[in-house]
Amino acid sequence: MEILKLENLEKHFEVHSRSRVRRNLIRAVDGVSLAIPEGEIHSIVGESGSGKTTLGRMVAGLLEPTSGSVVLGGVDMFRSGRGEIRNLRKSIQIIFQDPYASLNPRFTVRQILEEPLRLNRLPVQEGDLLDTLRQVGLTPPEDFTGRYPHELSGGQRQRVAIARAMIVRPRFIVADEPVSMLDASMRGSFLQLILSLRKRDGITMMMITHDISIAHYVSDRISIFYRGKVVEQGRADDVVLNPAHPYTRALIESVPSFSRGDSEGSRHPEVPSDVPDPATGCMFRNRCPKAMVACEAVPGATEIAPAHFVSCHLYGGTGVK
Amino acid sequence: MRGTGLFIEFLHNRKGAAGLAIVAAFTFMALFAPFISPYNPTSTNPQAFLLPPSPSHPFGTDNLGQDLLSRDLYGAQISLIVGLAAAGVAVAIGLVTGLVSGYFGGLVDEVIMRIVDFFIVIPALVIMIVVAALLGPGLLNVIAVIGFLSWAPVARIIRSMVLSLRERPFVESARANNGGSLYIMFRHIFPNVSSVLYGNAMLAVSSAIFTQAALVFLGVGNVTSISWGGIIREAYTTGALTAGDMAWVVPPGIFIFTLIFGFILIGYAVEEIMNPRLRGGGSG
Amino acid sequence: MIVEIRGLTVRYGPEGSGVRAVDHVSLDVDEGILYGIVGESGSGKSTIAMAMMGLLPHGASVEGGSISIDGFEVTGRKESQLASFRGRTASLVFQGAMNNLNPLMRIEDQVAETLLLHRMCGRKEALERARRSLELVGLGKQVWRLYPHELSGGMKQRAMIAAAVVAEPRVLIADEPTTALDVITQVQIVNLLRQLREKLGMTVILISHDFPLVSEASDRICILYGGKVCEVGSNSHIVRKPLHPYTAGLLNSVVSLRERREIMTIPGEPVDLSRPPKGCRFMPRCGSAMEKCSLYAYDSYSPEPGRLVYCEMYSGPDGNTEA
Repeated sequence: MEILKLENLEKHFEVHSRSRVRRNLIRAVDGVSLAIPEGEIHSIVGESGSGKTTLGRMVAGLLEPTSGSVVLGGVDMFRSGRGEIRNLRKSIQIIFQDPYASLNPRFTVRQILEEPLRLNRLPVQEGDLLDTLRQVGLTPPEDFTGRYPHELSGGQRQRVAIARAMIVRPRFIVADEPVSMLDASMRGSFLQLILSLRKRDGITMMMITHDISIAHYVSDRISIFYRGKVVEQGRADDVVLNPAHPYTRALIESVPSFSRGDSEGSRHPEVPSDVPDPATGCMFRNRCPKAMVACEAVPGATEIAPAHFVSCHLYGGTGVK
Repeated sequence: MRGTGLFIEFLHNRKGAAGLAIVAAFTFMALFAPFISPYNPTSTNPQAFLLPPSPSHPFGTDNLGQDLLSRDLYGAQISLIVGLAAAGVAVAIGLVTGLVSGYFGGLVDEVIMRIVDFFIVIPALVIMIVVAALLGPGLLNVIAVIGFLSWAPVARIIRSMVLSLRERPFVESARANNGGSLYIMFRHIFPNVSSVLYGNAMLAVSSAIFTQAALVFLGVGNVTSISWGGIIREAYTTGALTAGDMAWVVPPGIFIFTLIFGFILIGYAVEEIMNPRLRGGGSG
Repeated sequence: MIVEIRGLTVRYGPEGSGVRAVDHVSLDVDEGILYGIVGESGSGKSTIAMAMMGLLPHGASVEGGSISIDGFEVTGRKESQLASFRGRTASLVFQGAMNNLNPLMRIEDQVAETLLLHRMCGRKEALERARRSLELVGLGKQVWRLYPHELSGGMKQRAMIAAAVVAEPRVLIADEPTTALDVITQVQIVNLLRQLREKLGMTVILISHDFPLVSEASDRICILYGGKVCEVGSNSHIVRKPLHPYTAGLLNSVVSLRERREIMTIPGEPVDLSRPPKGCRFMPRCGSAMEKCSLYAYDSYSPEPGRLVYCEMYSGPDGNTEA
């Protein structure tokens, strides 16, 4: 059964242009619908400016959507009673990208972990606290409770951040680029920690990342995000091994790898980076090597294989203007 | 633990140690003025007016025969009281308005910031003269006038820090966990602005000390109580200043500037120690 | 050899109590190659880049060693002597450089600025050469007269590279040139660096934390850890048969999209440079650590021709592999 459901979620920002007459509407998140079943890790893959962080903030309840809904366990996050929303917020925890900014520099590790418990009026138990630290690999936990963030390495800080999210036993975790600021040698152990927590506690998670290899490694399903829209969605292996959308293909082609290490002749992805976005239709069409006339209309989603959806006219996506 | 560590670090900071020594010396002066003054500062002596410096009157006497050294020592009291109290008022108002303005934003912020702009552009000294004249003399009035007219810069600094702090992930995390506005403001934001606040409080003290001296010199406030500004004013009104009676004017002048400098040094030291970004030490 | 670094040691902070961010590092870069330097945070990679340009930040100083670039000794120079070296002998494109464009200056003027500052030519010629340089990095006519805010991140980074190469330096140092750029743009920037090497015969030093990215572009690779060199060798050697345990660990910790395998991780925490361990700095995290590693004096061994490794495992007779 799905635990999280996004229905046609939209967030538009109004940007005043210099003249103040014309207002630009930025569609940061533009009609996203997806469902995440219990115990699944779903990755949102997109580049900076794709709206993926805005999406995560809405799911975590930090930002109100322009329209659409975020439903967790049957409760609508923005259209329910106060008590229900309080409860919901307890059930959703968020892990941020920057382990240096996500912990209050003036709190000790103990204070950081106690905060969500106190704010959600949950009992603070020493045993729980130490157990949680042990689970995230900060052992012996007694050595860490009295430390301040500046006394920890980046990897340790990110473990504290995950402990803070885990301690209230949430039903759902949003992780916004949780490893992008960690060194490569620290990254792996952090991803393994996420996988082991999922295995043990059945955590459901939405992971937001720009790195499709990391998404492939940890997640069950992947949504490829481009300019506020999901352009491709499916099981992680399907999306990575049989990418359908031209953008997904370019993304995968661009991932550097050792296997090509010394092969002469560099790769030339056919996708230019520096072209302006079109005002209408498929947002990728100005960069797309396969763009055609039909692309002037917004493509709808087509199921090209079981549970593998693509929004592209190449696959018969019927135009919805 | 952490507190004493910071204090030790403060003493190791050259600016901090120098500033603290200066302020401590003047505090000692103010507290023990009755015991270390050679004369009663208000006892007049018709036989000994306008004496030049001499071993019995190191700074000489004024036109009423009052011992100037004694008056200069007593003068530290008013400067410290007004400086600290007025800065306290200014910082308290500035902190609260800055926090509220930065945290809530929107219309609240608009309104508060326009008020701040008003207080920053008006010539404060002129307003102070008018208001102080209306309120009448009295220590409390002087403190209130200086305090209420100098909170705006503090508010502006605090607001700009709050604006960036409230978007920090650790604040968002508290908010996502049902943390209320008051909780976030006092538990997360206030401790992180405090380093800048303490530094600015010290600067506010120096500015209040100077303003008080200037007001008294201009004849506003309690002219009869003994203060450095008042001593210089007396030298001016009696013509001693124009006559070149340096021993009357120079010591209180030096005292004012030394004390101000002391607080400024402490302010810098506090900011250097409490703001990790100014400490450097990064590598990579 | 166009770049020769010998025993470079850079200290942050006061003498005696400071931190050695770079500690006796020696590097040799052949002319005309793309040389990659891989290191994580705290490896000293950016410090090396700054030292090569004579641009160490306030509080950092060269404690020992020498840096010779195209025969010019960089260390111990006065600012005035470095002025003619920077831009003409060596140029630096640093991390986040794209945010350092002057927002009030047209792109072509900013690129031409280097030439004008060096008084290498008149205004007209400078502008002409700037445009050629912009064309070379893939920025056409339509962007020459734009202002930085009208450009995307990738275009700004290209413009910075154009500015760095406009005076045709012998060596281009690119420190994390792709950080904060999108994946697709990253490849394009790295491709551009390769093209510059091919078209202009420039020596390019690419510095990054991103091992796969460096490996895509480089001819030779140097791996740094905690201010020390771990190993140096040709790209294919290092990737196919790493000698140093840290290199092996780094290779295994990379998540690969093409082959699904368990990723291994390097246990432990990064070295704390204010309290480095005795002997080998990687020892506390190393699976092959031996007792003698704590006595290691950072001798280099060459178990195979063309390769250098700083590890006690290779301390057998004649430096042959006997581990």
